[in-house]
Amino acid sequence: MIRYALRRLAALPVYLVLVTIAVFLMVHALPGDPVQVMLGVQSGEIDAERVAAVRAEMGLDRPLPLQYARYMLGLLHGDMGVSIRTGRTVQDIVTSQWPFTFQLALASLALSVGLGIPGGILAALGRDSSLGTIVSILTMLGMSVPSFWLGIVLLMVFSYSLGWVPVLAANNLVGLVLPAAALSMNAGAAIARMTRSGLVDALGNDYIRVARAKGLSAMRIYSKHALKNALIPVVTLIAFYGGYLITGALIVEIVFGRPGLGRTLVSAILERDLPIAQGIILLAAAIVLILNVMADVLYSVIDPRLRS
Amino acid sequence: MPERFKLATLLTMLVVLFGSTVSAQTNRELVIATQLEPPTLDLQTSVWRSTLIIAHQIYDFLLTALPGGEYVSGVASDWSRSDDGLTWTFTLRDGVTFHDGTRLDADAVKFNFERIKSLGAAAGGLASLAAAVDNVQVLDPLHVQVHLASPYAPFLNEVGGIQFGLVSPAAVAKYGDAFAQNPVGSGPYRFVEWVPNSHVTLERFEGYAWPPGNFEPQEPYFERVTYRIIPESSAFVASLQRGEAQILDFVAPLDVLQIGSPDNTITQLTPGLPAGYQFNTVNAPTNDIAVRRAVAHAIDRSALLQAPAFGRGLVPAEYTYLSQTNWAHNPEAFDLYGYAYDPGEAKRILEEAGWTAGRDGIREKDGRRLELRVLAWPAIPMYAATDVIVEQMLREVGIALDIQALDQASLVAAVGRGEFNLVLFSGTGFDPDSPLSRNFSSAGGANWSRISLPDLDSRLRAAASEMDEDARRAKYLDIQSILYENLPFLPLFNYAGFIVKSPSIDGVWSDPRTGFRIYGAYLRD
Repeated sequence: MIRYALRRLAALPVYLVLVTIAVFLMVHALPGDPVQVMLGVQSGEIDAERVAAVRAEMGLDRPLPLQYARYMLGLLHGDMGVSIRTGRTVQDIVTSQWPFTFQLALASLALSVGLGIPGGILAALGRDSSLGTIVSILTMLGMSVPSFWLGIVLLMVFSYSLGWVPVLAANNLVGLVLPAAALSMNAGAAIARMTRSGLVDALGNDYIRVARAKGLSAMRIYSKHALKNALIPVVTLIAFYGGYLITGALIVEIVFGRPGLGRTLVSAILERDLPIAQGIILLAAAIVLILNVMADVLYSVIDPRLRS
Repeated sequence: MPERFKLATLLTMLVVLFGSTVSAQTNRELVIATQLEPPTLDLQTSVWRSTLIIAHQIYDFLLTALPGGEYVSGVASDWSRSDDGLTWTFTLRDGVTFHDGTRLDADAVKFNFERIKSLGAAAGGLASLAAAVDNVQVLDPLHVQVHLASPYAPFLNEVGGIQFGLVSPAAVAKYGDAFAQNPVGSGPYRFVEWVPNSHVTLERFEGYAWPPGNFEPQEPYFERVTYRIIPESSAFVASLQRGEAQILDFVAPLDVLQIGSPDNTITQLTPGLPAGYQFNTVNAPTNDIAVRRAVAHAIDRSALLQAPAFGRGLVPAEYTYLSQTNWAHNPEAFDLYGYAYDPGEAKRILEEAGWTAGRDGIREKDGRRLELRVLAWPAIPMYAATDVIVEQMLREVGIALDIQALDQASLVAAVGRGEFNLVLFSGTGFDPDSPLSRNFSSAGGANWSRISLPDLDSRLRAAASEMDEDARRAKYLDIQSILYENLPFLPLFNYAGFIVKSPSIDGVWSDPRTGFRIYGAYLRD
């Protein structure tokens, strides 16, 4: 198992280098000039002389391979570059913003797992009753509702109409509730559906019938035998959504006016602040890669057949 | 169900418990909501409104320019100009200190002039002031002399403008590049904290006693000022309605219709070039002056401004090449040069120029359809509405529009490559020289219409160095009539911004150029 994990981990740097190339090319393929955007488009002003001067100052007029080489050299020294718009280092921006996104992703993950798995179990147990149907309909809705829409609705109901939560999200637990709820809905519903189908499949297996025949309690059959098997695909799904929660945070962060990496990324792309966009996409890609490797390793812990 | 139920109850309890405590705040705290994150708090490097509205509380100015060409004292109590217009002498107030305790004296002023010279292109709107200054001489701690390379009429306007806030030399030395995130000035509020994408906090600078001449000296009412950055417009607007914010900066006209009223709304007109269509005078068919003139006659400006995106008449119309807040603005220009709404005249001009009606009602000439390519700005509601409404108006006279919606960065690039016939534009600047020279002199940095008239170039240069105010005004009126005749740009309306405040807040001083100062603001009982 350790060798399996190591093999998976060893491939990581290769993937990461490929990601840097892809990200660099993608970001530079965006039409438009970061400097022109920086120098003032608030009311529709563009000034060619100043743009040329600033471009040269920042080395943006050099050939692309040279820019990439400089970027990689910097990365190897732990230097992710400097924001074109604000002059802050990318590390600085990431360090100031990641805790907000991390909190949100963690709270959403907890909420989606905490609601999704029990919800899925309920739906499986009550699959022949109206309870199961209700849960199924709810999860269907939860998967289809976009998080930004849900976010605005939550804001309008709980902040604006009821006044339970301030509109201007505070950076504390209260400020986290609505964004986490909005963000966790898709993932929670997906986890619930996956749990339900896994459990329903498992319950139809022969070993469950054997367990029943042995006279084991229903509780024991579900928790020890059925659930454990049903949760294997759910683990991959959670890892998948772990990445989604970080990237999905971008819209929720804007809706709720929360600081965070997602929101920073969106403005960086719109303003063509390439170093920041590169840095955050790279970070997100690295997190998704690592989560996937972790899921693979975890998989082998849960499912002994994969260890050999 | 029990798990779900318990969780929901727990969440609700948490919300009720914390929700009430969080919204409580001292009534000496002012919360200002804005939708845009400032790129920097180093005022000398940014013309962005998001910087100005914060930085104008942190920094002081040598003097402040008021509309109509008047000036009030700032840190300088007096100033004078030599007869040749080349030397300016400033007398400073005694006892002025920066937030870090260092003195704001003649040496500090000299440092500031030298700083904008060394900033180069980064000095943004101060670049022309920086280029005009030759050297600065300290006479004694309270007297400083600025020598110019050649007469520069906009000098006082730029010094007393929106960007030349005086920075602490010691703080610039201490923070270096990080000064942008650690601003130190001598204004009524000192910088406390900036959490990107969240908020900027300022605190009252105890002992502040050198307000600009248009204020009564007093202790600032608010102890703490927090700028909350709220990009999403429904939350932005709701924050005022819920009483969580007391001032909303730059509200869209459509939202002003919803939450604004005459006594809680401050209208600001960006000075300089009003918003309007930049014509490409090189590409066909807008290289044909007849087409440009026909477009001018075919647009009904008053109908345009009644659209919801303009707040149904909240945005004032403007007909000259300078916003109506500008001292060289000519209110009679519209009647004088006459591009009145007259579709019949537009049709006549087009017929005369050989553009005849085609099969689908769109005109043609030599087999070419009269279709204009328009680049549409995203995220500026007034601009988006203009393109769509104008399309209908131009169709009436047989002109088709091909509207290309692009994101900002792509649009700016396309404008640079000249891939358009029409694009909406405006240009800021308190002094007429900056917007007019940048947009309409052949070498101007923002000359996207690519107009090139040697006579206009020399007149712009002459106007910028004319020191007599009346003579200068006359020169700009002439320049505007030349522009009307050649029509590289069609002014349509003022680029207007709205500040909506809680009715209980009084004394906010709206800077006519952009932004506002809260030094004299207070909460009414």
